[in-house]
Amino acid sequence: MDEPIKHEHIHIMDTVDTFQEAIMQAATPLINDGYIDKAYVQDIYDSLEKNGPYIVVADYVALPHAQPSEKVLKNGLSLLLLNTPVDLLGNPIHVFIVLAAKDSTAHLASLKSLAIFLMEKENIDALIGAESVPGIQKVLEERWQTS
Amino acid sequence: MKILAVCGFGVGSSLILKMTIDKVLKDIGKDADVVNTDISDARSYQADAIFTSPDFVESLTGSVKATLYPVNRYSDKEEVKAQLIKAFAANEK
Repeated sequence: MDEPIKHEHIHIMDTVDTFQEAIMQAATPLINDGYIDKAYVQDIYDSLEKNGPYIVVADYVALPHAQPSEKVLKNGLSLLLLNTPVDLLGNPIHVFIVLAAKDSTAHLASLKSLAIFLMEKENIDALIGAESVPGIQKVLEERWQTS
Repeated sequence: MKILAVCGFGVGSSLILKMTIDKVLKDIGKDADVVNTDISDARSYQADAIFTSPDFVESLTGSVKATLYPVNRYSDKEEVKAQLIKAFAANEK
């Protein structure tokens, strides 16, 4: 099976000062690997300002993303786990999962698997409790259902 | 019943919300047609109920016929279940 999220797109940090910093850190592997243009991150900030924090899909989990555009070069996901949560417009967040989608049907299968994963609180607890990148991968691989 | 799951772009979060609604429908043994879309399409869509964030409920109020049901956490089955029960009760009247 393919990795749910590529290991080189996952990292852990102790703490950040702002949610903007968290989103930029979470997106950096996708920028460095040529999946997204840095300008895509600005689109995410703009969307949050305009649309509010609905990307907080579960307690402690945010899915930063913006509209599909030419700023997305490849479909992908990246993950940042913060040991200390940061405030995102009134919501404490431990896990940032950046979605890069080239169009609205792209990446449907992994988004569906992600949705099923996030519906179970114990999956999120296990993710937050992970202490290393291999630990995060283990949680994802064991609990990721492909449909 | 036709339900719209709405987010800003119709690409990520609204699919997550649709998946949660579909899962809860299965759990409670109810049937509905669930479609996910973005905030601008939501205005031109015929539906009985719209599930979306409190911010989008505010911006859609007055411009859609469908009843609006706010959901804070798109993957929270309990929150979605409470709103689905309300939507079915309203739809059966």
